[in-house]
Amino acid sequence: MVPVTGRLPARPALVLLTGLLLAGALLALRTGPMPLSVAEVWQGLFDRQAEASVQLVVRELRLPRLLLAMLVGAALGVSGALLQGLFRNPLADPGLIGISSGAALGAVAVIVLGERVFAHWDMTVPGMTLPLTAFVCALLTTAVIWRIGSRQGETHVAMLLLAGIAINAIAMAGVGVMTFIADDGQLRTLTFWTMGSLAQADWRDLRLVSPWIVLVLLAMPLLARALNAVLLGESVALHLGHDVDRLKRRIVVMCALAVGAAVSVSGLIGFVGLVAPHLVRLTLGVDHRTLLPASALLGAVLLVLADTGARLIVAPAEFPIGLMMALLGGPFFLALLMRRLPE
Amino acid sequence: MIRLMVALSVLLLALPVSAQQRLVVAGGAVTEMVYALGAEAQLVAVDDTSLWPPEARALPRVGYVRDLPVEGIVSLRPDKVLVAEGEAGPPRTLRQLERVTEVVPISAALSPAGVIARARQVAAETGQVEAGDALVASLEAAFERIQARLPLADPPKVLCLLSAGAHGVRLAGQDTKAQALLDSLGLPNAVTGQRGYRPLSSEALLALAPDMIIVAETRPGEFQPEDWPALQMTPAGRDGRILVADSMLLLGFGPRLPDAMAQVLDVASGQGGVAWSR
Amino acid sequence: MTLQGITPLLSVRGMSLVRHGKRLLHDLSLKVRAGERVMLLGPNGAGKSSLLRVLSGEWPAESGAVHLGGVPLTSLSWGELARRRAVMPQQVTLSFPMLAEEVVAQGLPGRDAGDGQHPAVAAQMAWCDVLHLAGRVYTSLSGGEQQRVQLARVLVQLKAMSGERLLLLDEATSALDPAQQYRLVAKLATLAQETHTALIMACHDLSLAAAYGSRILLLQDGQCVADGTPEAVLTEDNLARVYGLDAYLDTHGPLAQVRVRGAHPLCTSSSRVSAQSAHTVTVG
Repeated sequence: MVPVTGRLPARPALVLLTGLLLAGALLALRTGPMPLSVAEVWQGLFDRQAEASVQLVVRELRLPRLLLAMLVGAALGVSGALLQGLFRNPLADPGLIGISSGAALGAVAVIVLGERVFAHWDMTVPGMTLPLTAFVCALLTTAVIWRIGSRQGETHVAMLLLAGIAINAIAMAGVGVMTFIADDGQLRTLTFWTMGSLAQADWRDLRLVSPWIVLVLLAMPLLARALNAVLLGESVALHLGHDVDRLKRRIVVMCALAVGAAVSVSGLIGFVGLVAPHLVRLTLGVDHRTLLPASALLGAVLLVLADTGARLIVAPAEFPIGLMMALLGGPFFLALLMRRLPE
Repeated sequence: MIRLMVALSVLLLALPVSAQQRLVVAGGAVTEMVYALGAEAQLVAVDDTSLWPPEARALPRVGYVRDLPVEGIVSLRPDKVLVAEGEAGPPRTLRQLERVTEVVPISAALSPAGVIARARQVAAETGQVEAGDALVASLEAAFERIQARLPLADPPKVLCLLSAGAHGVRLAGQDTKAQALLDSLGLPNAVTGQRGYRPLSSEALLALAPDMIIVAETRPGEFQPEDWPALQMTPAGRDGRILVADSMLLLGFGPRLPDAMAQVLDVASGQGGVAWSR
Repeated sequence: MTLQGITPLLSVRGMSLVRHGKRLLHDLSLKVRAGERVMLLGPNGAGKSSLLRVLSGEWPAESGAVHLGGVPLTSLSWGELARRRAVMPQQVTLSFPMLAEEVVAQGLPGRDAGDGQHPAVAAQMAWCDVLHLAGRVYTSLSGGEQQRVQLARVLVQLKAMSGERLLLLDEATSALDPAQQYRLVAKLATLAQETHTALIMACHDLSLAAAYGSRILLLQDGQCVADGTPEAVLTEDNLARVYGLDAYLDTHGPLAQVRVRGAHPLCTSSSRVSAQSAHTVTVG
């Protein structure tokens, strides 16, 4: 007899993850090129009389950056879990429905055509042209893929994936064109964007991004039961009383909003959406009522830790966090797969 | 009262030390200027493009000039951050830095006059008034010596190449620092009607038929002439009018601009250059 | 509201189904009352699964009317449907390692869905003789075990309903060994009689159908060839015409069973082939 899988009870695991996130947050606030004590962090947060550089580092740099890392990590983790459940494929990720490539095209277009095309817009929302454009492009790309994948009110997953591949290729070709016409400085800037970074995080980014991600995080528990049913197949989910087409629409919209918002301020950060849900499934099981919040928490923990590491390893310079995730996540994921192969 | 006196004298004694300001520089040409002024003791960190003079490489680095880290710089507690205008960024980082330290944009220079203005500005910001006057004087003298050799009777048509690591070899069109260098010597650019840097092809090399080629390398030995057999078939290749030099020297528009101009002029007037037909 | 046992729970009138340009069901009419055990028979491709998909509401009929409990099927939401009928499809594949009890618990309604500790889960798993598999990963179970776990899930959903209800099974016992098959179908037949449930079950086992069906619906090429008691439908003539079987119904033992003498050579079923092509041509 095959032993019962070694699953941890859900509630304590969620509490543990929350604790980890808080510990990670404290670590992130304390460490960096400028190490701070807990007391200094406290002063930086609440004491208007504290030293200007401490105030700046804690309140204007690390705090928004920490919150953004949490939100972006949660958005990536939960979107990975949602899409993997919907597509019934453990390898699905937001890139499949064009969110990343759309955002990349938008961001790169702003970097390269920047002053010429977007100058007027930048006057109204200084410094926010890039994230706004990336966000809008992510949503548009997803909408196009969704329209192609839907016929007469029905959405076919296979068609959706094929449309995704084609539209992604077109968007990446657009990125290629932009890369080709970019000058030296723009080339460097766009390369950095594709490696992902939270170094630029400020409160305005947070204001742009947090409503969408928080909305998705709040709405996510409502989909858990239907997603569990979908694990048995779309037909069975229908038989059990779940409107699967509505579910698909909701998930795609939620992922486009959350990941589009995340990517628009952080650049491309891979692997969180893959690793976080996968780890949770291994330890806590596949029930989406646990999987979704746990993936969000774990994604947040992973990104907070990776971002802290990114600040430290080449200090006072910074390492791109997207690279960091891929460098750590890739081998880790491989190790997981290798360990499971003999079964 | 005595206590106050002691405190005051301590303060006075401390003044020369505190006058030694802590400086972070983003921009290779600005770093060169700081060294040329003998103010290198003020430097606490520089960016990745600050590779000259070789001593600068030993300083702590804050990353690429266009991708400066706020916290990394703040942690160094600089009194002043000198940033090359138009290069250092991103703008958001600079705005945040301004809240805790003085961020001084050093004006972009694309001509001998610009370099002199830059020298004056850096001298003022580092408090090196005398050294600044001396540097300006020597720069002016050097530019005058070069001006005396101009204009050339038969100015060659020059192709400028930038050999930059993974980006490969690209040719320089209008709106580039290479164009500015040529302009300062009154030399025509072989590339016309193109803006910025464009990938180089062997066919383009032949079609442009430059009389002279300048190769700016981001690292010594990066440009491999063997990769470009078409080079030898251009007028420049046949006459050996090829100059290969460091990109920060040629295109940095720092205190070494007179050297760069002199080297280009030597090759342009047929007094030097490298024949690559080995 | 329907008057129990008098007004039919399920009523199908002149229903046709076309999918991807192919006519799968043609002019079907049918009335089923609660408590009836209808066995859907017919060779491969006769339209058994298609009919079940229409009755489950999954595929809309192209023409004709389907009423469940006096209400048009198309006017019911997925949630309302799930409170009136339960469906067990031919095949359920999982791509994630769900536990057997988690699979069964999906049948629970509303907020209870997915709660593996709910008493109804254990009860139906015991009914289907799979309680000992509760903590096992579904994908590690054998085909027969998986089928019984799925059946337990369907029964959990069925048991939560009130009033008259419909149970649709598509070859629900095909992977079970004969003893389990007879045991389970017998229990299902009793369950249908005792709980106001109309059972409609597609199967290939003629004897099983004859033994436990109160009524048999014989399909061929998307049309209803015969509809009535096992004795009336499973005649030698029908078995030869529809299945190409040389067989007869033996009602002498405790259970009715179809005894097979042999299969007719293929040529006798040529009429079937031509009939099928005639139907496909009619599609515009």
